[in-house]
Amino acid sequence: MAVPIPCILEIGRSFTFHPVQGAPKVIEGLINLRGKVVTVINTGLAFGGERVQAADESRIFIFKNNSELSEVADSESELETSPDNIGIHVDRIADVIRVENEELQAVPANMIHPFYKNVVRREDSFTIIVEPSKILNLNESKDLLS
Amino acid sequence: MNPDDEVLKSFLVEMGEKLEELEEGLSELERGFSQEIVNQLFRAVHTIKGGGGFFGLNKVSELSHVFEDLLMKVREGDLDYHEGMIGPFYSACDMLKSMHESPDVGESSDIDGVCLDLKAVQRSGSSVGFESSIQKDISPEVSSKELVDKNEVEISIEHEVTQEISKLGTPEPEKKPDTLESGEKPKAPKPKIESDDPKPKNKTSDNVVSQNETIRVKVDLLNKLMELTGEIVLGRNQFLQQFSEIEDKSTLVAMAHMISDLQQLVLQTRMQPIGGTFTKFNRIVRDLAKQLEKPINLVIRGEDTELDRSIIESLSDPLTHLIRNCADHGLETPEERLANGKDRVGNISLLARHEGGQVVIMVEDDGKGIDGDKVKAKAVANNAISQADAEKMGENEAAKLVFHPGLSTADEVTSLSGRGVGMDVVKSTFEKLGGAIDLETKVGSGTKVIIHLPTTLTIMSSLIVRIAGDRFAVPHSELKEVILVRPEDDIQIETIRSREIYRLRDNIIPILDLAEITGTGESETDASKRIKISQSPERLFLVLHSGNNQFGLLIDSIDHTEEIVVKPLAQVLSKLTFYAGSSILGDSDVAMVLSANGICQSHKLHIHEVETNVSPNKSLAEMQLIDMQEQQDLLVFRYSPNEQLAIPLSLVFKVEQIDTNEIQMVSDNHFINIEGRNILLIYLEKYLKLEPLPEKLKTYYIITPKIKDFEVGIVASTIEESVHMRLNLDNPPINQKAILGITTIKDKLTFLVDLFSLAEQVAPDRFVRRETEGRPEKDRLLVVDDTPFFRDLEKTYFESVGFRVTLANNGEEALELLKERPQYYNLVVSDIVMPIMDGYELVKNIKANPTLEHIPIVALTSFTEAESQEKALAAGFDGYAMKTNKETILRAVDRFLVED
Repeated sequence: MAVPIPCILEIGRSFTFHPVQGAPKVIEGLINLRGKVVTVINTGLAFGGERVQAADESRIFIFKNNSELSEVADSESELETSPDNIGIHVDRIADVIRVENEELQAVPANMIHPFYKNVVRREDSFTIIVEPSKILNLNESKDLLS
Repeated sequence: MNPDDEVLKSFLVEMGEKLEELEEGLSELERGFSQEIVNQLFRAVHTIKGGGGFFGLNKVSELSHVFEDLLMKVREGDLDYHEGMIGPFYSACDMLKSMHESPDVGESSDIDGVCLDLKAVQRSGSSVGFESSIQKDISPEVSSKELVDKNEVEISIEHEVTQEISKLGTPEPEKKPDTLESGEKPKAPKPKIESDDPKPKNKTSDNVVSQNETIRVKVDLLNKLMELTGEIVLGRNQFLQQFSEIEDKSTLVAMAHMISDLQQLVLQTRMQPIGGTFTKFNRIVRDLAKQLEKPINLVIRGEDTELDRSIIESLSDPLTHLIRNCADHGLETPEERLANGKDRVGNISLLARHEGGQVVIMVEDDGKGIDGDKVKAKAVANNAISQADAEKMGENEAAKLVFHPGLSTADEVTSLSGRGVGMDVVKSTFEKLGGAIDLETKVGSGTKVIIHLPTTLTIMSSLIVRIAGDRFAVPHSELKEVILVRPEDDIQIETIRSREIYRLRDNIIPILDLAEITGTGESETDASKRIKISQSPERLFLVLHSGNNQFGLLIDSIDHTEEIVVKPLAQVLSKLTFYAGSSILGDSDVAMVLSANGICQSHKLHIHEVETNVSPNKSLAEMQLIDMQEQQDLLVFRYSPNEQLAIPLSLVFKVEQIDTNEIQMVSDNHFINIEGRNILLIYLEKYLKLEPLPEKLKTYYIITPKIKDFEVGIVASTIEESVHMRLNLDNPPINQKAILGITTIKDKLTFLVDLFSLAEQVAPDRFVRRETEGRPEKDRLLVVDDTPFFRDLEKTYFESVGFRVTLANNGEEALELLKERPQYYNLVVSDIVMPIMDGYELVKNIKANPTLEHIPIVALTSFTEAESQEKALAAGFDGYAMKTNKETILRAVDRFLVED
């Protein structure tokens, strides 16, 4: 899975999560990012899979909020994140790839998911591009918010 | 296009300011004509016109031109001001305002009507001028008539010019100034010279006035500054914690102080006077008066009271609602008022002031008041309360039901009220801001709504507690008390219909635990945690309140007190209304901030519901009586292991645990640094004959008293508990200052410490009262107080300066004593809240009795609010003093005995 790099504010590791009682399970907790409180989503649970466990390789992607994003946005792409700085907890960083616009393809009908935006097929790989604004706001997935 | 946008933006900001000035000026003009006001109005409109013309805002410049012209004639005396002008003035101002707010700055607005109105005024005005001038001279008339004509010519010309500008201006913005200049040329030779003449003069004077030493700063920048300062404060707390073992902390402490100052200053930058919000009510009330055909006089006070910007912004709607209610429902029609012996003009007053770190806003009318019975009947009909509850309610309490969600939509929906904003919304708006709303009403004489608001939202003093391993912050503003229930205590937490409740001084409050609030079900960990909680023999809970609702929240332990910066939750979590936000604590851990308001709402917690399930042991009246009698909360602690001491809890600000090695010595005095403040430690053995502190203690407790100018920490070795008991005080066997008396608490002899005398001993220069010269001549006092503690305290104080004191337990007793010997007493000092006969009743009786009315009577209460002072003085008391301070108590009495 991939997220557009311009949306990322920073990537961190080993934070102390502070759990939020009563919050949906996908919310891993709050972290203190140098005096800023950031809400972190467990990516595994968000996609309905296994919980991402804190480990040596696991990372937290902290996304820019919409106003930070608009300050740097280049006009060609219409990226959107969320009104707040939100983090996602992922298993590990696999790679950094450069994707040309022409390579972006629609999500195949048999794997439509509210969080998926595009797919990229290459000879040796298949990458799902995630729509940050959807996952960060947990849109269209009310079951996750129960 | 960008630079122009910037300029336009700054013009729009300025236009907004000018419109505000305009509105203020108009309401002043309404109160009375003066040349100065007209000048001010003229300048404001002129500026708007100038800008409108420059930016090609045709409609703005057209309307303001007509407006300006009219004002100029009034200013020059060509036109006499009359009250009929004020209406069109206001509508012009309104129009300009709505144009200012519209996205195209009014280009699509229809201004013809307003312009015509203005011109009509001008004509009628000039015809008045015509008549009057004929008697004197003919020439002024001519010139004014001429002006009217010129005026019209000028409009059309300017219209053309501005259109031309806008045509040219859009594609080639850089050329704008040029086109304007060239555009002005055709204007110049026109007969406008005459009217142009005064303008430059005015402009200069305007500039001089507006050259205040201020600059405009973007709000966004201020917010960021505020946020950053909050983080610096957190950083400071972390530093202080991290370097607590280091010996020489002078640099750190100095920096900590500077940061505190910085924080104060930054907070101040966000402060704004409330006046801007208040002024617009002149308008609203004026409109209401017209619409409702009720003459209304609005009194506004305290416009310069400052509040955080974000709070001020949210005030406008709820206050408008309150004012509308006053005008619509509160005030009677002039006929009704006259029939009831009132002045036909109704009064509404709106005032703001600072009080004890908070801002109080009062909205008051002298109308018919709220009929409690009617409200009750309706509440019962709507099933908002039960019949039984309704019967228990007093008049005021019943009136407060208007804040109840089910009742706010009055059946008498007029065009004014019932706009979807009910009193419940008003209430919740204030509560969201961390404030509270209260209401006092008296049928026939009016209603008063009292709003308490914090001055700032961003920094809150909070208690940090632990629940199931996590830490939570609870703002002090929502915390009432902390209660520890032990197995041996008389009152236990009871379970009724699977809900836990606690009888708190015969009030029944529900007890909740966190799992219940957050809705985290019985997952394994939670269940085991819960068992753990219920297994421990002692149960600790916080009593939180939101408005009138109280509830208990079970906690495991209390950590400490901290000033926290509350950060809003991310939107994904915004559904969790039981949290007010999150905060980063001094040790850089994150804690959730609980919100009592939110918990009440998300839990639909209505105390009545619980109350009807459990019938209280005693009737309400009995309960109140018991509550008021002789009950005293005491904090019990020890200095040396064998001596138990107590001080009234009402005089305790906070209790903290400190590390003994954090104590620093400066020339024989011990200090401790808490949150950047150096606090002098008081070792009681120095002032009382006590055994020394046990050595080798690692931690001390320090008790900070709530006494003005007495910021000290009283050292204690252990804190025993806080008790709520009937106090029987015996005189101390040994004559020790600073000991009020002895009593028995939990079978142990306990000294009750007199904090005021202690303060006198510690800081004699500040607290010892100047010796009175000799005994006062009029020395016979009657002290009336139902609380033995205070009664004895007052007696000791008064006797210490040479009075002869007689005591009475309540108003009735006092009255008996007075009637027995009407000439004996020189002064009565009375409490207000007392059983059987309260202070108000007593004063009424004294003042109504011809043999007693000469005796001055001073109220002595523990209410600190200024409003209760007003109330007491209105009731007939000659003086007013607060119980918390020896100095004020004595001075209040002095005044009356010295004066005559």
